[in-house]
Amino acid sequence: MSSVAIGLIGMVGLVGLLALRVHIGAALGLTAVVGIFVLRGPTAALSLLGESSFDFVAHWSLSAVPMFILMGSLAYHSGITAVLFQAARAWLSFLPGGLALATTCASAGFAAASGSSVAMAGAMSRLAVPEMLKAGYNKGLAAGVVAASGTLGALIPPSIPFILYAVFMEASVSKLLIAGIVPGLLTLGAYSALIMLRVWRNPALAPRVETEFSFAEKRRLLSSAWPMPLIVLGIVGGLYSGVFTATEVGALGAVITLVVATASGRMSLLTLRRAIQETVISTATIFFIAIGAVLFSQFLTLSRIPMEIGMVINVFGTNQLAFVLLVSVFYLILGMFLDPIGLMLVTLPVLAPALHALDIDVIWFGVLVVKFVEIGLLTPPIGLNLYVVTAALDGKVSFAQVVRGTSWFLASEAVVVAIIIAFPALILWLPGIMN
Amino acid sequence: MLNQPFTWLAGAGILLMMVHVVAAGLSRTLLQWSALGTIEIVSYGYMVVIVFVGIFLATLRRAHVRVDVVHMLLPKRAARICDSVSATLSAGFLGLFAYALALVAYEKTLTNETVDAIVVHLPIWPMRWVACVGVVLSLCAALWTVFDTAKLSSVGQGEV
Repeated sequence: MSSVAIGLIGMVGLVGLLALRVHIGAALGLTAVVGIFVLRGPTAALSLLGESSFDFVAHWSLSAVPMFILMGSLAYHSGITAVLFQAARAWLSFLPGGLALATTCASAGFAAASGSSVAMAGAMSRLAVPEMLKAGYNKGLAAGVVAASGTLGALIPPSIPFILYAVFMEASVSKLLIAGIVPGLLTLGAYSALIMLRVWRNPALAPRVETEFSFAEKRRLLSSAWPMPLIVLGIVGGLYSGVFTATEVGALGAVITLVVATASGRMSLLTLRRAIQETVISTATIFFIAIGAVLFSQFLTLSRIPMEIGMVINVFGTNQLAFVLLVSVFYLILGMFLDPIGLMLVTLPVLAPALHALDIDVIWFGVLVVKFVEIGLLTPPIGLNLYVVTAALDGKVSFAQVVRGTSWFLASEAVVVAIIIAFPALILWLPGIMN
Repeated sequence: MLNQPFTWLAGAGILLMMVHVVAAGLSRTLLQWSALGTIEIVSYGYMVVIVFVGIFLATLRRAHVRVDVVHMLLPKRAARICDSVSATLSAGFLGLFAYALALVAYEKTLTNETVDAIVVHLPIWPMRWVACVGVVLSLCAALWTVFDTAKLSSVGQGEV
């Protein structure tokens, strides 16, 4: 049997294991070990399993992951995120759909402290949806805006998917993180426009909030939200200036959050313990999948499947646009069924040779890939954010209402994706001028 | 009970790493003094402890990510069989993983594996054993899940 045939059987086997509900990391690892065993024998299989996994974990660039997770957990558990929402609510409630807009803006602010979309959707559900429901907002709109805004977490730096993509594709972590700013802000703009347009056409979706905020009250709330701009400044400034590495920026952000939360009386030992526990578990689950993905990509390389794909693309002379559109469809379909990190890490080894063959910029492609895997969080049947929001709301909003409410935001995602594909320069100018 | 000391260990790793990295970054930027060995200590020290002890804790709390799309469509009995099979396969992988890590750790111990941290050669073979212990503990937790799933299946209730 040819190595390519073994590779293809391995891919089918992987789908079978995932369908059986084996942990994603174990399914990837098991397929890879069996595949390498068949291709190269038991010594190679065990040696790769024992060496590659350890070497991957002991990777300096990846040490940014736990630091960014810690920063987000500290910000959430200490209540810094809640203050941000209250300030946004006070300043934006006069606009059509003001509370929904406040949720989107607060999510963008929280995204600057958290690299995980799912964590953000969970946090904002408990924070913002009860307020919107109390104000008489349409349930679908209230839940949909939280589910969709959660995806800002993976675009606006820090971003865990960008770090993993950079390590797998041997790209610059800092440049990728900075490249996420423009699409993050574009998405924020598109969501805000959509909310205002929908509420303007049908005001019953979001009745105007009766609570009036005096100017002094607004100023007080805004000044109490000062920690977040400080954290944003520390992260973006550190990355953009090139003074600090991504890991240092993550650690510095976590220290700033910890100091600010302690100084403002928001940090207790229990809060710190919760944040650390959450960080350990989240880090481990991400790395378990990533270790499996490393092994799986080695198996695919030994089976020569990525090279064959590269050759097919060369032979047929597929152009960049056709390739990108094909990949978009591929990600949209797989994103409905797979978790985002798993999806990205499984597909990158297959797509990498094609990127080189077609001379596609890896930074720009990284932004596109992360955008697609984040859209996957919003598409049923396995849209993680949809489940997270439904679960966090404890029966207040049904799953069907969450799906319906989120589907509107998918329309604005289509516009953002079209802009990213049509204007790569828009994504690349910021990383292009950084130190 | 068992997870408490390991949660403390991994938590201490996270906090120490945060302080160490910030101190190294600030001393390099503000004092033009590089704390040699930071990259090696973070990569081979803290990260190994956090990730491999964390994998054990995540296995113990059944927090690893799975795809539920097919499972949701299965009748109850088939879903329970599916749970048993997936728990056994996950434990099987962890068993292989632990064995492979132990083999490599043994080899590296014999050759006294070190990493060049410019001023000193840091021994890193002990960290390979730390990784191995983390995965062995995960295997124990996974085997407990297999046992638990089989027990639930036999009395015809629950889901893992």
